[in-house]
Amino acid sequence: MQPEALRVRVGVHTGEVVVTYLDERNDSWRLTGDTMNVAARLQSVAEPGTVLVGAPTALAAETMFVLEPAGTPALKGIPSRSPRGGSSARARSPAARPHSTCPSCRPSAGTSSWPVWRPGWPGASWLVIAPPGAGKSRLVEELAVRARAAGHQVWTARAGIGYGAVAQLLRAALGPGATGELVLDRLARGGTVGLRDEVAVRHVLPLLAEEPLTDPRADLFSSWLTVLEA
Amino acid sequence: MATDGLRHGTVTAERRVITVLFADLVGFTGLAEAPDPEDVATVQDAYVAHAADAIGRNGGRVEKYIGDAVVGVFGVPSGTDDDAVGAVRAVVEIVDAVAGLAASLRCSPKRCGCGSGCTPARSS
Repeated sequence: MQPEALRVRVGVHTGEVVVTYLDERNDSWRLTGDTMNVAARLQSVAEPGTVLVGAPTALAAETMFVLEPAGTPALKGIPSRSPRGGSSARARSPAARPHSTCPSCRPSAGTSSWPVWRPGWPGASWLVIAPPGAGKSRLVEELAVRARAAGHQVWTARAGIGYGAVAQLLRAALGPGATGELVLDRLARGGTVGLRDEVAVRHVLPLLAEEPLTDPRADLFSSWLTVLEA
Repeated sequence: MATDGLRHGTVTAERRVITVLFADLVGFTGLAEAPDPEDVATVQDAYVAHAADAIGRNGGRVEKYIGDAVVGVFGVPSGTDDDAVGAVRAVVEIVDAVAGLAASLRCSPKRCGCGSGCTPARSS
């Protein structure tokens, strides 16, 4: 065996999946969704010794790693126009670097999907809500960078526990003085019943009461959205 | 975005944003000489251990092993804003570990049949 022939090739991708928990303790699960397929395909087209990361992963990681554009590899079974299989980047840095060079992963100026402040626009505000890991902070940072580059003054502030917007939406949906029974009632009427209802109540009431939240953020978010949808 | 908390019988399903990594070890195939199965098993064990360590250390879980590939997931059962960064960090560590693995094999006296500074050679 020639040890120097040993190489690893890697594909990394970020996106939504359906997690099906297979036991009551949520210790084992099955993952379903394109995200899994895209990561596998990225690995299969990566040259030995290289790492291919999907565009959403590149966006989230490019402030920490040096990435270089890798074009749009053809991924078997994944439509090439699909944003999920879109541009990829190679991670080539052995160490974290403060900035990256990943032009293909960064939306170019004027891309309509990214809010860019233009002089002369009337005042406006955006509310960005998404699960942890979706890139909200990144989006806001990018907006601030562009606004600064355009000569505007930028102030940033972080208010309260950081979930004020969600709390407002929940208050509006549930009405004043929401109780656990009310939340359970809404969930039942919305068609969701089961173990997670109790968890949802435990996640919703402290938010409304502005108490400290200790559970994992993704779990909190999942509960809040479930209640909001109901 | 729809986030479901649906129960079907005894199972619960929900949507989550996660980061997935597939890391495949290559180098066993395409060689002129077939490697000893023991050598392959040793390298595979070391690789899998390194990969699992790197994934765990950076907040992920090993989802499964497929042949020489390790599948790691970040964001299940709970996620953070740093899942993607953790995954890329794990990947960089895995790449380094494989380079170290290759180097340690290259310099193993057993493998080389000489004291030091040798090349990987098979006499049979």
